[in-house]
Amino acid sequence: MTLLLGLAGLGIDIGRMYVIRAELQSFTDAAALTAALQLNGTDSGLAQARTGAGRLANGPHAMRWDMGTQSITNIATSFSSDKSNWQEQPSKAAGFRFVRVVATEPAPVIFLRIFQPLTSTNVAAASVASSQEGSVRLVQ
Amino acid sequence: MKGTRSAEAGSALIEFAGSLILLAVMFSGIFEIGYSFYTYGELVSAVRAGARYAALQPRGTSADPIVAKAVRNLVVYGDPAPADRSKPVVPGLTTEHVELINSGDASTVSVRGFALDALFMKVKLDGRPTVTFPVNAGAPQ
Repeated sequence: MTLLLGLAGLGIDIGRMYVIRAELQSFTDAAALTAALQLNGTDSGLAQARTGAGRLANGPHAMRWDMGTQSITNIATSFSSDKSNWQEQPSKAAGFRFVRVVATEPAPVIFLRIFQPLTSTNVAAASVASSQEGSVRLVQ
Repeated sequence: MKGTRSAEAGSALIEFAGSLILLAVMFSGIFEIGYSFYTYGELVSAVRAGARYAALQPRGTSADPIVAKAVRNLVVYGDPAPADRSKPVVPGLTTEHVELINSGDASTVSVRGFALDALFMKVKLDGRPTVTFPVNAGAPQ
């Protein structure tokens, strides 16, 4: 029985986590690009980048998670000038040309509960986009 | 309260048959759900590739219908210009199931009216997965 539940856990719980991660990764890729397109070295550009990152999770064509059934709500956006030092609220916008978007959602755990007392486990995806001389691209 | 040898053998056989049916049902259930997750994951990456491709193309030219066709082919066959008799990434998926919406600043690709075939049940996919990429024409892939 443990073996069977373990197999079910592998096939269903882990399979579901992979789907969720793929969905979140598509979202963060698109969100990081949307945010980076707004970066222009000014404070208003920074503010627009912050709202732009969450825009794709809302509206009639919102990207969702868990086989397209749940809204993506936990979105963290941070900015950097050198890709190593990240700030959520930079005091000055000048020089900040990298934006990182991280989406984290709790993937439900059904069968693997027999091994770990968990009802869900966090699945996250992150993307970094850069804006340089008017050209915007995904960095990672 | 021991029965005869043949009666014991008979009841063991019935127990075995019963548990075999139960096991078969459980295994096929696991397979079915696992398979639909796998297929949905394939659809997510196909739709993502289509939306990204669409967002990188120049807009508002006479080439727009050609681009739309290429996007549909990319989602279904993994190639904007597929060879004859290419196989779709997911069985049963056709270019009719791919919806492309170009808004002012973004390209949205969704799966519409597709039923994902998972052995015993069909999962209706209408508007999911959906991926939107911001228009960023000419940028590197």
